[in-house]
Amino acid sequence: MNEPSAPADTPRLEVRQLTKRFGPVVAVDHVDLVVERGTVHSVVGENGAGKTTLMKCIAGLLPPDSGEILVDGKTVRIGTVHDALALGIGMVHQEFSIVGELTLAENLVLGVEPRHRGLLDRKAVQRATERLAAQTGWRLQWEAPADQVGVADLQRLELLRQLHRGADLLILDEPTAVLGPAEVDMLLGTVTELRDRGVTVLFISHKLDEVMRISDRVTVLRGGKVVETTAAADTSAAALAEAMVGEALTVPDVEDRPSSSDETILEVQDLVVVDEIGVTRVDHVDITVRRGEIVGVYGVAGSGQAELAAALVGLAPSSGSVRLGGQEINHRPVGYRRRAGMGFISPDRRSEGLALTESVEENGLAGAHRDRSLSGRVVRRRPEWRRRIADLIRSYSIKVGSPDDPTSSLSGGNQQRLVVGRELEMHPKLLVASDPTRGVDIEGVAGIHELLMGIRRSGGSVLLVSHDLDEVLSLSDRIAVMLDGRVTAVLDRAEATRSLIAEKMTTGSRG
Amino acid sequence: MTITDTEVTATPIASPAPTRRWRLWVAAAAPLIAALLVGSAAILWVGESPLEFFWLLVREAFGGVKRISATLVSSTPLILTGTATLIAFRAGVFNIGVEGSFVGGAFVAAIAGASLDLPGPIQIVVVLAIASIVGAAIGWGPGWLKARLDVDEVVVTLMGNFVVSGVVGWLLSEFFMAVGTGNAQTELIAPQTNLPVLVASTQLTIGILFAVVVVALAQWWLRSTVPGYELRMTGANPRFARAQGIDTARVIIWAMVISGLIGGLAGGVFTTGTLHRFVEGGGANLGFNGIAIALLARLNPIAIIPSAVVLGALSAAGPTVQLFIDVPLDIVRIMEGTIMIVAVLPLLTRSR
Amino acid sequence: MTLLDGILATSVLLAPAIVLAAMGGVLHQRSGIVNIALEGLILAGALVGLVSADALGSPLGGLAIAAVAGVILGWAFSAIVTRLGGNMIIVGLGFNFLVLGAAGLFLVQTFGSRSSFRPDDRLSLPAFGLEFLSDVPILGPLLARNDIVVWATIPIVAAVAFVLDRTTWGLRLRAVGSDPAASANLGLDVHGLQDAAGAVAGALAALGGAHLAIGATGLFSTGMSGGRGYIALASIYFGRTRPWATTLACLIYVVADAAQGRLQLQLPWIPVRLVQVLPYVAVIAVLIVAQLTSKRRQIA
Repeated sequence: MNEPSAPADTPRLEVRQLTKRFGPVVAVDHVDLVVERGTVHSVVGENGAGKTTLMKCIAGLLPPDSGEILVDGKTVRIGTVHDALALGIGMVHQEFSIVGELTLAENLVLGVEPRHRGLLDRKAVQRATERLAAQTGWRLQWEAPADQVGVADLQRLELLRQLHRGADLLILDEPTAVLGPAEVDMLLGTVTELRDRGVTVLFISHKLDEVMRISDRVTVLRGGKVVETTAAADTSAAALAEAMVGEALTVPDVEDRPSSSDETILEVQDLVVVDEIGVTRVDHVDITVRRGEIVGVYGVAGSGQAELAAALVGLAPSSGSVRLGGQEINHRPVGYRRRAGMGFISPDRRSEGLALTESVEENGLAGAHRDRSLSGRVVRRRPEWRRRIADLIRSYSIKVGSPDDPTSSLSGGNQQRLVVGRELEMHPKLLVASDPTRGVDIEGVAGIHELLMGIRRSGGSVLLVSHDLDEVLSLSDRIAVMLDGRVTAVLDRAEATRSLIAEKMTTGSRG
Repeated sequence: MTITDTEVTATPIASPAPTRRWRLWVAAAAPLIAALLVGSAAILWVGESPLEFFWLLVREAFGGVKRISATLVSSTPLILTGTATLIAFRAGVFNIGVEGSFVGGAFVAAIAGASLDLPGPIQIVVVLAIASIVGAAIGWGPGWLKARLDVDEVVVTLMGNFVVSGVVGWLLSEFFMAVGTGNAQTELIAPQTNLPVLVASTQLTIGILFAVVVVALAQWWLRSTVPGYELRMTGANPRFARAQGIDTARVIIWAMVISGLIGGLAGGVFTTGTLHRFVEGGGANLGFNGIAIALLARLNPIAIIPSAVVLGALSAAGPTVQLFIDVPLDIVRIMEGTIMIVAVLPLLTRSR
Repeated sequence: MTLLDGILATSVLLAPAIVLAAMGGVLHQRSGIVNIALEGLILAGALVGLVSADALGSPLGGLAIAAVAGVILGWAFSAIVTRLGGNMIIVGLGFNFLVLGAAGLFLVQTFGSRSSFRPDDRLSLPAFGLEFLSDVPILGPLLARNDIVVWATIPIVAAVAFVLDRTTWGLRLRAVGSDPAASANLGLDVHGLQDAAGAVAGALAALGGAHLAIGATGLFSTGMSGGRGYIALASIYFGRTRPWATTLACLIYVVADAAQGRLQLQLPWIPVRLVQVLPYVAVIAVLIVAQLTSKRRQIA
């Protein structure tokens, strides 16, 4: 920081009416933010509330469409990460930019390596690490290759990187998402210490307990807009949760629901999913789904819902028991589970739900392609495929030129309709639907919801994993709330209110 | 860098069918046009006329029954190796080992053809079958390694080619060397092993029919069967294929087995139809050329035939054309290299 | 011990082509590009080197011009892959075809001979060594008298190892090859680094090829690369892209190759062709073992 210091009461960072759109979607909607120097200011909100987009604008990764950013009282343009660093702003992302084969020290200085006569100045690197250790109290195994070091240390590295590059306003994006309880304490402790030394911290999180522990001020975002900004002292986790989830936008379906039967179609016991880097994503989960029932699974992003869905379908390895219609299917391949009656709508339409380069017909009948009605043991019955896809297109109102067109030519909403139609046409006993209406317009959403209810009416079951609380509330008979890989509560439709869910999403972190 | 870096295979080989039809034609024609341009430049540098060269080439390749037959003789193995490569590529498997399957199949066919003494047609069928099986076995290895251990198939198949040619060379020199000739080659195969000639006083055998049948089978397989569908889906998006219940590991292994099988068959046809023995270095690069052909055909079986005919024409007519015009055959190689490079540039192949 | 001496003498002459190409390949591969074009680069270097040496009357001039040609060709190959997005394997194979064809074309056009070119005046590179060891077994063939490229080879290996380990450029190369996305996030010029490595790979491989033509054989023929580029690639995999281990793999091959020619007469029971296959089998084995033992960790 070579600039003359601004007067002490000038906010370190101020954002005025910042707006950012992606096509028709307004991700950040006229947001105002004031961050005082040497404070921890948290920004909380649901997935999709606009937190990360806002931070990216401040950090120089995205250009805002309108609005102003003021640093130390002066209006600035932050066009690149470089510009941000020049102003002392550095961001630590959820996804690390760490090269596994290099050592921690090498990763620290990558891009800004100190040189001595053309060579890497290792002594200077060492001095830098010592300086950073003094600043944060962290001692890392600097000579260890990054891919042998734990996630907590990697995160420390990312943070130290920003400090090393001269940042004194740190933006931390969901930093505790990957940490265990002890590491969370360490991180929060360090954040507090940094704050005490004059570093300003923008803390993005949905973990409200942690937010309450370290923040000076909190801003709540919902739908891209600022809902409220308060001092942490004047609020509570529960109040923040309520602000985050807000009022219902639509009145939940008040329809005449026939009750579901008592027969259990899906029984999950003690399911554990551990990901590639050893973090437990699903932590001894039990779930049951009855025939003719829709069970919603809700939680903020990263609570393990996606891994749960993948494990049920067979795309992620897991331990524990999964019984479909009484039959144990865990440790069986995907094809087996599908034939046993499990349908799957992937949350990742473009890279898993569809093969975009291939035709609508071939995408629409994938999974059913071995059915006797469509194919013999070897030969496909092409006319039958033609007929079936034409029916599918009609039944699900998919706007498409010809079934031979590549799926990439469909709009996002129509692509999703194709996916939903495909799965429904296989008449699954249990449909695992993960974010089934992502990227679909309002009309389409209503249509898909109607289809899901239709499954229920005809005695099928749905496990609805969704980030859309309205969707979960309006469709589910029961709602399982997940947090940190565990199911914290299973609420009946009648008792599931937003505040109750908000509470279950925040109380009691692991252990 | 990690050795088993599948980033090598992450770059798409070539994506089929862009949305707009005109893009499709441009994309298909570009490698050939580029090759013609580069070839013409080289011919000009040599001081001759490209037009004259290509005209002579066309006349030499297609002017008259005898010449067309010669062209088709050259094209036959190329049709097969091109198809073999295509099948693997469509499954998303980067198989550059068809050369190995070809050499293995050609060698084994020569040995079997010289050692067995069965009645005519049976001899042919048996010999070709053995060649195909050997080719399939050579293809199976890398396929299994990729499917079960996620070992990068590019390096394995590339190395495999050298291994096969080394082993074959050793077997040849140790056990099967023909007596009395100077070259490294085997004995002639028994007469009944020679493929029947299709057109009198030419070298064109029923091998060309085999090749065409294989192409038709491949086309039918890919378009109209369930395994063919699963193969294509696996190649288009393996994650998607898995999520829809396709056993991608099995698909990959089978694709490599079939690819190797056709490659071995190509070698067998080459031995029984053209050389009638195995000569070390005799079918040089016919397997590798399959890659260029598959790419030129944009991984489309039907287009394999014209692609193979074009390249076959170059190598069949080339030597004769040299009598009339002073253009070295190296032009062919140059054009082939150009085709390969241009064919994989995504400027034109990206589908929207 | 004259047999061993003979083997060593031949090895020393033939080693630089493979080792230098392998070192170039190591740099390029560390940056993330598998350089299958080494074969073509060696050949190009051999032709350009010999022809310019003959034209200039200067073997050193030939080496220099070959290196320049290598820089251009190596960079071009890399750029087609990085900037035009061509698949590195196919572009590499195509490149090799192109060079082969172009070399043959040049030969025919300029010298009227299809197969080889041998300059009338045998040019030799400056050579020196520990002359007093001339008659000493083993050490004699290795150290008594070698040309400058042979002497330069080991220092070049050391230099490559040094560059990778101790310079900023080497660090960035490694970063880019290991995780291009993260590197780009940190502001590194991924394509620029890769293409620079390609240029160096071209220079080294061409230099090796030029030495093969000028220093080792005194002629050029279109078949003279003889798979050396692929052996270099195999050595890189076998040595896991580490410069010294790769060099060791190269040398093992070179000695075995030199030995097989001589041993064949004396010990005809050695299955020479089979032995020649070993480097390739070794690579496959290494790849399998690497997959079985590595716990692949991805940085989230």
